[in-house]
Amino acid sequence: MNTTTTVLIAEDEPLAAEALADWVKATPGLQLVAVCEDGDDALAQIRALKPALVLTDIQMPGLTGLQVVREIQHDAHQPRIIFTTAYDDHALTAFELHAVDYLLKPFSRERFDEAVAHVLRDAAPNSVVSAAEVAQALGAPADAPLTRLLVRDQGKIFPLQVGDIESLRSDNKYTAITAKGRSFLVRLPIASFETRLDPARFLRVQRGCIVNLDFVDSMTPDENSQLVVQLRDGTRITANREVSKMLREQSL
Amino acid sequence: MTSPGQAPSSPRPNRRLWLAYAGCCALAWCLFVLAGSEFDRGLDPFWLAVYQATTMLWAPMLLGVAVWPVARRLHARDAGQAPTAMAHILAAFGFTACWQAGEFAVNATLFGADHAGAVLVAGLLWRSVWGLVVYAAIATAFTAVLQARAARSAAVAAAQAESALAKAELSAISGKLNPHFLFNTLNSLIALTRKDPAAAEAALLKFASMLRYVLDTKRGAEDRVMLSDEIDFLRDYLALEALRLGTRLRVDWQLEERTLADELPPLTLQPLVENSILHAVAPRKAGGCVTITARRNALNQGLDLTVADDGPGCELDALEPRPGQRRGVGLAALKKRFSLDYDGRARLRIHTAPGAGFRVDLFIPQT
Repeated sequence: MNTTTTVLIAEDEPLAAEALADWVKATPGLQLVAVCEDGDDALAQIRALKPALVLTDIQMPGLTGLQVVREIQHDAHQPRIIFTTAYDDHALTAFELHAVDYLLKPFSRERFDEAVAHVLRDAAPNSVVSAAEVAQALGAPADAPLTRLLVRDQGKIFPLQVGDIESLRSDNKYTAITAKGRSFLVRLPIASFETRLDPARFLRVQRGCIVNLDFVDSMTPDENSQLVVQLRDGTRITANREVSKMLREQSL
Repeated sequence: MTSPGQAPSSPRPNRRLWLAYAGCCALAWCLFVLAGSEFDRGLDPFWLAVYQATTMLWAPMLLGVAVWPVARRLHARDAGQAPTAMAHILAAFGFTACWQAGEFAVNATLFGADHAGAVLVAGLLWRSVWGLVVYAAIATAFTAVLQARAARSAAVAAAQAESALAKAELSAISGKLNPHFLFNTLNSLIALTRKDPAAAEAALLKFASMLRYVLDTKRGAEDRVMLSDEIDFLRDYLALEALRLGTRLRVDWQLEERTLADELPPLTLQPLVENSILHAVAPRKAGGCVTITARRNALNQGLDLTVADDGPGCELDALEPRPGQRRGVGLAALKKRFSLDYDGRARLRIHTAPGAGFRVDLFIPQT
């Protein structure tokens, strides 16, 4: 890294701010320009110092981190944003679905380095905009229907319309989303999708798999009279007994 | 329908049952005597009526006792309407037959077999009908008693289930530490290990004793702890919050020495203090002050506790639980906890207005 990246930290807890400042100072290529203890100060300093990267807590006195980001979304200077937060399911889901960078407290030095490197490598100037979208999404109830999500693959971010999703499969703590012939990993359990997808179109055929019925080629009963769902790309998934029964009843 | 543990031996209700039975028999006997002596006043008809009532009623009265085990068994088996009715009809005929046989035996002993046979034949039809009717009356009464008992034990079971549910709810309400606090504290502790290992060690020990307190009290929601233990726990908790919030958190203790041995449910104060920190200290740049008061109630010697802050306060209406709220233990949950505990004798009162801070007064009875 030849150019230095200016960094602003917004964190109200003194120990957390100090530790974060130490790491920023210790990272080559990063230059710490300010540490702000509250949201209002952070907003003013971002506008005054125009840092390239902002590390911001969510819960802060005055403006919250999300409110700060919403304020600057139409500014000329758009910093890259990394949220740091201790615990907020709702926010984490929104971050994942909008490909926003975040660090879950407490985090290791490795995780910090990775997130910073990630942000510096990605050429995605819409970081503030998508973070502002998150702030918007957080105003909605936690089970508001999904229309669009942003997914990452190899350092790039792709917008994905929900209608383009062919299937979702549970993969340990992740969910693999198949769409447009590719597979994207999202760090969310499959259960967090189920309630937010249109039930007329998306069907949870078994515990670890949701399919988009628009992409289903055929359903054939196997020897146990469970239905084998064949997707257009040739993938075959066996529906569980309950779903098989329900599908048979509906098809009459 | 069966109520195990209660049916086989319940001497007290059964004694009452047999007293009632004896009372009914006496009443029937009196009515019989009255009806017999009504037509013709005088000494002889009276004694005649007594004689008739006694000879008439002794058999069904004694046989009625035997109806109880029959009714109880049929009730307990609960085989369905038709089989139960069939069994009762058979029992009714048995009852009638026994009645006749008993009278025949007594008459045969007292007056000879010929007389007994004549009486039997003369009253056969009439007595059979009477036997069926009397059996029906006795069996109906016994079944009603059994059903009332079953209904009562079902109601008791339902009440017990409800209180078990309430207890489970209680333990869910208590023993909850805000994960936001936990992870932020861990984050601060990790930062502190690099900066000041000795302070980190002290803080981790506080953290350990705090967790021990929370996990201990999680077991029995109805347990009581001493106020001094709850205060020690609160001091650990506040020390950790101070680690995160620095000088923005100020605490004012107003504890009467003589209340420290009082008893209260575990984790009574901590959720209130946590709420104050969440709403009055953490969101304000200048921080805030939390005042914790413990006093002896002069009137009834109970424990008066107050947790107050100098924060922004709010309208009382705004305290109604809304779906958007997720953090912390809700005041509604605390209120519920106090109404379940202490059978409504404990009180929780909120005083707040916009700009006037937030204060919660608690009263915990000590007797």
